[in-house]
Amino acid sequence: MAADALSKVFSALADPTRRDLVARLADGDATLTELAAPYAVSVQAVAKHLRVLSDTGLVTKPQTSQRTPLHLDADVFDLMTAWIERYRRQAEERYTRLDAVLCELPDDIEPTPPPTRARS
Amino acid sequence: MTTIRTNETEIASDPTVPLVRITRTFDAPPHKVFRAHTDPDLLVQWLGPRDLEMRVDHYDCRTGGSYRHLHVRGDEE
Repeated sequence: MAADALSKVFSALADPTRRDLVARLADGDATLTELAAPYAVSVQAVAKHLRVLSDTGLVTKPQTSQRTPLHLDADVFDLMTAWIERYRRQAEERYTRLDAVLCELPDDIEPTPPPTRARS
Repeated sequence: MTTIRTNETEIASDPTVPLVRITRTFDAPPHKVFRAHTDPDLLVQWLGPRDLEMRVDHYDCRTGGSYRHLHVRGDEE
């Protein structure tokens, strides 16, 4: 369920127009008419993009009226952040281990190991 | 006992090329950090995933060089 929801969100945001819509909704609620205004494409095309976004839960469901403001649900971003954070944490743990290795090394150690060293 | 200081890891993606850049500061002189990356005995102590044992099968650490790392858990490689 969570993995599927995540795929939908990433896939929805893989489109630059939809990311732009999200960026504009992040500034505040806006109606379909307002959202569609700056684009060269039709209001219908923008409505379709908004439908993809609302399927992920990122944006409130489009109403029948074009004057109903649409709202961004930022909680969905937590899903993405949690997914990304796992990998940041792995990198963090790796470098914390490197901190410990560096701490143990004598200050006068050569920058490279001797070339003759046997490698297991 | 020495206190180990840790710094925050920063991960950034480059919008122009398919690249993820990880930036991290270490409280150590460059030659020590370099040694920790070039010495296979030191590399295994920090690089691999924590839940797996890491073995360096081959490490030719130079530009255009090559490496072969083996990750082991029980009988699995």
